[in-house]
Amino acid sequence: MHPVRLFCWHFMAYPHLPDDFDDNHTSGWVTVPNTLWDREKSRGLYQTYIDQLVYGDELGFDGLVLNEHHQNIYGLMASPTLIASALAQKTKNAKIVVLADLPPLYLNPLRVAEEFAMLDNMSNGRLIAGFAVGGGPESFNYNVPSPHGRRRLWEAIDLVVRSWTDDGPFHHEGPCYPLRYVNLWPKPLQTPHPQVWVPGSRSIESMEEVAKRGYCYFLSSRSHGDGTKAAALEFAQVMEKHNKTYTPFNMGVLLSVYVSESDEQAKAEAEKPVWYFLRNCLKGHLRQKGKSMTFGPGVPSQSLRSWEAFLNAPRSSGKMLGDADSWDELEARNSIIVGSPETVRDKLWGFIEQAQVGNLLIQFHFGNMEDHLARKSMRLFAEQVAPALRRDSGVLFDKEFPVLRDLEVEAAV
Amino acid sequence: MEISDKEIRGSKVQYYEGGSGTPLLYLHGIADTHGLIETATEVLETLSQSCRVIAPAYPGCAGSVEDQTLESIEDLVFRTLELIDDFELEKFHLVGNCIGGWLAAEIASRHPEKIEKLALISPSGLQVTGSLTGDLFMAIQPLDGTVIDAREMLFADGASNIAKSVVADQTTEIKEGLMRYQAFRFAARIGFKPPYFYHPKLRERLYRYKGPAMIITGAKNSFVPIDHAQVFADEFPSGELRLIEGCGHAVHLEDPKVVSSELVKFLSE
Repeated sequence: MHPVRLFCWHFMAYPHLPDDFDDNHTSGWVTVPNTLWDREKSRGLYQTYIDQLVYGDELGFDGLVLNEHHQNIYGLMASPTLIASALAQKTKNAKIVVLADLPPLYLNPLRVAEEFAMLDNMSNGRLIAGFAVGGGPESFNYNVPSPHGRRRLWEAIDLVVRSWTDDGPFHHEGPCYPLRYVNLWPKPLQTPHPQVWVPGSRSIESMEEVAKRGYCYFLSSRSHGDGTKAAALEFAQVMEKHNKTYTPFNMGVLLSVYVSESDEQAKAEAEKPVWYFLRNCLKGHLRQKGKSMTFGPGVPSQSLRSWEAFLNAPRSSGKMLGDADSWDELEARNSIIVGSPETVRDKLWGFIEQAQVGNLLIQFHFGNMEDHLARKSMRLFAEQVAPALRRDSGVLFDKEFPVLRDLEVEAAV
Repeated sequence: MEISDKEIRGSKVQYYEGGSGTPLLYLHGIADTHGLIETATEVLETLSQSCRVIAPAYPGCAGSVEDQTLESIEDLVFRTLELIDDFELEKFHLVGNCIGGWLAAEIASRHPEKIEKLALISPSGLQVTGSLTGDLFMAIQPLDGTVIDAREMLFADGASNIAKSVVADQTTEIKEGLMRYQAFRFAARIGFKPPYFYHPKLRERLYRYKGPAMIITGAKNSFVPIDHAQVFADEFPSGELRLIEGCGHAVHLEDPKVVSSELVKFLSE
């Protein structure tokens, strides 16, 4: 059986914004004044968030997901490897997924190779290593010109993986990061190396680069209409071109979920933190109101070819997730799934059946959600949603992807 | 002027060409031909009445093929020198607007012997302590769905018709949207780091160009502060400054008649 793998993703939002934040600030990113940081209210905040992830391990999630953001209220993990390090000590079974480090922002990708190798050892081989180019806000944060980003990213990824697998010392002659001595201490624990995941937003170039190296493609989108299925089909085709066979585990998606005892209760409990998340955390990123820094010219790293395809794609409206006007609209978008265990199970099963993606990376904590609510949602999910999803997806995937058994035999041999 | 293209060292370069007489190499800006504007501007057309104007698009702008390895103004200087060689321009007028003004100053400080006269329109390129170039990249990011910040940075009157037509809120044509993406993507290659649009050593190198140099800019330039134009004028041994009242950074679009006549007068003196 190859059931869907369920991950718990935490963004670590800043939860203490004033109620009138949306009226007085154009963005939650880059320019959001740090005078809004409340030292006293924030005492222990990281610990609360880390403990929620530790709880995810106790509940049996397959993995815990972290990512990197800078100078913003959406995600306080400027260094996800620091949080991963804490998780390595406090968790036992779950994979630790850093999705992702952003090598184009750093001086030298060897630092990433070293930290990931340390984490793999510290976690007894539980690391999944993610690499990404960074979005518009990150360009501003670190003054990184986005047109150079992808070239740097792929050279960095190849260098890191080579540093994990090849014996050192060796030299690297690449144009972006020429190095005389590459000689990693420690080597990662997993062989040949930790799994590599790379996010993309359906640009064909990213899919090509991921597929030809046999890495996992993570669809970096918060909208899940027909697009997820389409992306999975596209990626499967690209893999086929490179003589590889798609299975649901070659791809991951981000989902957002809140579970409570009933649909009514779930909505009542989720509304406040979800709107906080949409109106404040997405302002500057996935919201038209305010200063949006993600899709304007000069900052996305997409190639001209990809941008032309983006311009040509039919779009129903310019509205983004953060622009949703009503709860009904939000429900229709399927971006945030809120309800009783039955409702959430049905919706997620529908999604799994349709998209056939095997790695579901689920956000349980939103904006200023209280600790006990995030924990309850995770628990209800683990106890009443996950078992059925695992059971049914195991049957489905084995039926639809017989290659999974072959791969298993291959791995055993 | 006629638009055409040619291969230079294996890459397609698109350019406008027109007129006869002394060759004039025009290096474009962002709110300019090959940047946000597809056609030849009035200033270009006027210049072509008295000179042989050649106005190429940078790699990745308009119809010129992108160069993935272009990462600095130095790379762009070299690509431009290749173009100068290809057109067999031995001595020519050099006119640059905005980032093209920066590029022109870089070329003038390296190869002063090639240049008859140098004219810079609202040039960027300098680091002037305490006087930061505006963040055009941030300005072009939509604010409540509009790009009003970019219009106000580039034009003295962001609500004017010319501002609204060159930097419209919505790009209706795919080609227009793509050109805008191309222009800013190109600009980011050379001008995103350091923040923004300067070479820290350009100022101390300007003395090498001793020929006639004119700097024109709008008195209300909100992108490149006018003291940058003053520094250019001061550092060039024969530099002079023309401030055009009531105009901003895109002075060549806001008052093309005055800019054209100043240029024609300067180049023909």
